[in-house]
Amino acid sequence: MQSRLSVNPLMWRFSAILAVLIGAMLVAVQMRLQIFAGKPLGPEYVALPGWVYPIMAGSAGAGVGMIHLLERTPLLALWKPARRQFTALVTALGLSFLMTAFLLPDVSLLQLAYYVMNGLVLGFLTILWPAGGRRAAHSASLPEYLRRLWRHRVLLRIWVRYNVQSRYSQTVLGILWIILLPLATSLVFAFLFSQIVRVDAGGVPFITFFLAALVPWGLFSQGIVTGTGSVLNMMNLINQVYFPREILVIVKLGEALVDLTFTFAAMLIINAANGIWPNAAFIYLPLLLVIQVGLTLGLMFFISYLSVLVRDIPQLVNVILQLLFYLTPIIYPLQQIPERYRGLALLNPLAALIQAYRGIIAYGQPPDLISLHYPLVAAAALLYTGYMFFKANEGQLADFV
Amino acid sequence: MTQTANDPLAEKAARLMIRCEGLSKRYLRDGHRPSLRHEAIRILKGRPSEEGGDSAAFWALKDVSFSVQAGESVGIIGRNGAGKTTLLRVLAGITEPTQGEVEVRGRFATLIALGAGFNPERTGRENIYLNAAIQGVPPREVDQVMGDIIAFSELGPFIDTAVKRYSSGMAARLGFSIAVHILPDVIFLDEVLAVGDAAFQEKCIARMLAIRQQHPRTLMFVSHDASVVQVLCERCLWLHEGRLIMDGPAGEVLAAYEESWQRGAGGETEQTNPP
Repeated sequence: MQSRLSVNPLMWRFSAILAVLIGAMLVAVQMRLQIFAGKPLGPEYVALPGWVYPIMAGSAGAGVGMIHLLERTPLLALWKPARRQFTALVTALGLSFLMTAFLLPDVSLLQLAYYVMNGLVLGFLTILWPAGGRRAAHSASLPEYLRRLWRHRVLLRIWVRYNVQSRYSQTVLGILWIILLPLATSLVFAFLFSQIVRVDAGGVPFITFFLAALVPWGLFSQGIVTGTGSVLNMMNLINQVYFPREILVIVKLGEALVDLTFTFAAMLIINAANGIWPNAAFIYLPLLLVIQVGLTLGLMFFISYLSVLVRDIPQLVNVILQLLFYLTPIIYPLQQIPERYRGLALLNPLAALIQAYRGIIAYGQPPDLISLHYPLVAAAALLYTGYMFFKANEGQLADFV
Repeated sequence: MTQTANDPLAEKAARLMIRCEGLSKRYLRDGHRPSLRHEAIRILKGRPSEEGGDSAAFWALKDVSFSVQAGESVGIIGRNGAGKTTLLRVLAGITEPTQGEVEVRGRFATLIALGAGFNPERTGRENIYLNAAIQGVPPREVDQVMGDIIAFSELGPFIDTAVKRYSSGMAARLGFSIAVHILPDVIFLDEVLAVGDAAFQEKCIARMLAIRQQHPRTLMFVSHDASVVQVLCERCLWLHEGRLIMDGPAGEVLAAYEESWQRGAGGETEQTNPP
């Protein structure tokens, strides 16, 4: 009984590690192409031929298949439960190092930083990965999770509507409050950076330049901040009824998306007043939004759960968000970062994303799709690992009161 | 009634609603799990995890196994701290068992606290939709029974008032009314009948009996009140200090339970059932 039960969590752990590895490979390709440095692709860059991608995807798929096969052999019984997590960590680190080393012939400082980050992510995942998941009734696999979430979609809709309505029906100014804060901030910054400190806005009014980055940033920061309390504030309910807990997190993202539509509309009006109208490049906005939602939601899954576990996390998150606001090219253009550090700044997937938003909204430039590759991979890996982490730990939430 | 051994196996499997095998639930006494630092050290030293050595841990449930067929109505009795509510919470998926397997088939409603998930700012009617959605019931199904829910809850003119203005009894009535009208296959009922006045309690019991006659519905019911268990349940589980010590027809189990009270629990202050 015991050995049969311990297979499932092991499988998740493997699949999560694989997701990180796939992400690592893609990032490595990215780095080999030196796209991260913020330069356009020139003739001196030799890209990996297109057929490498299917082979990489195929081998990753084969890896997953092998783990599924391995599960049915007695081999897994050889893994002592206590050493399992540690062994998995070491194996994953070794594999990821080998793969990255294969893809990166020259090891630079940046790559070392990347290894450290990768190691941190893996270590974090394997140490915190629970030993739970022993319920047959709530048996654990991604399709099953998604099926149950789909069955509860009504709850998601009702909850978002009620929350948004009760937030704005009781205040005098109502919906205006959503718009007022970004508007006030951007007015102050617009005054500061157009009159006192000169920032090169690239030929558009500073307020347009700034709002094009601040509005998408608002979705991210609101998602993360409300994400810290999304589970913590609902512990009462969690203790009394079962429903897919991730709905609590997704509801907060839904509210942030509703707010985004209002701030976005306000931004369009302000831009129009400055003579800047929506342009054809706006068709890329949904793609950017999907990437950003994945990124935000993935982080929210981690943060919402960890906030229950460690009550310092909400404070810490606030501090980090403040710093991140200044480290992300929001009040200044990416080009203003010295070239030496530009690569580091672009390690933040939000930087490339915000840059793309600004290109579209302020300058009417379609985004460089290759530079969106890294945010896309980061978003997919974060969303997957975050969701699996949350779901694997969800059963213990009620015990943390 | 509890032993369905003469049923053909296939039919038995088809009607099985709840299956529990070797269910155990361990809590840490200080309500905290070992810190990240300790976990990391433990992993590095390769020490066998969790099972041994934790003096702060206690078992709320220990190796509980039983199964429930469709249409059965099962009472769970035991003293305070015997693990009754924990068992219900594990069955309802609120918390995860430390060991063992649980399987619950079909849609289930949980009444551990009435009115859980009410949004106090919204009206009673909106909260009916919300509460049903939490249990996984879409609005169009709620619309079919909306009239019945309102009538049963006796809220009539107040249904479009914000729930924050309700008395606790009103909120409880609404909660119960929703749960018994959305017609789940399995109902998990904790000691919630006690909240209403006597008349409403009787009405609830009558309603439970009525819906069980219409359609075979499975009921798991936790109570201190042996007389209610006697009325509602034909089978009874007796938990003592986390272990299942008796499982059988309600009359027999209740008799044995009463007898144990007479024998051993003279000095305790807990209020049991009236004679």
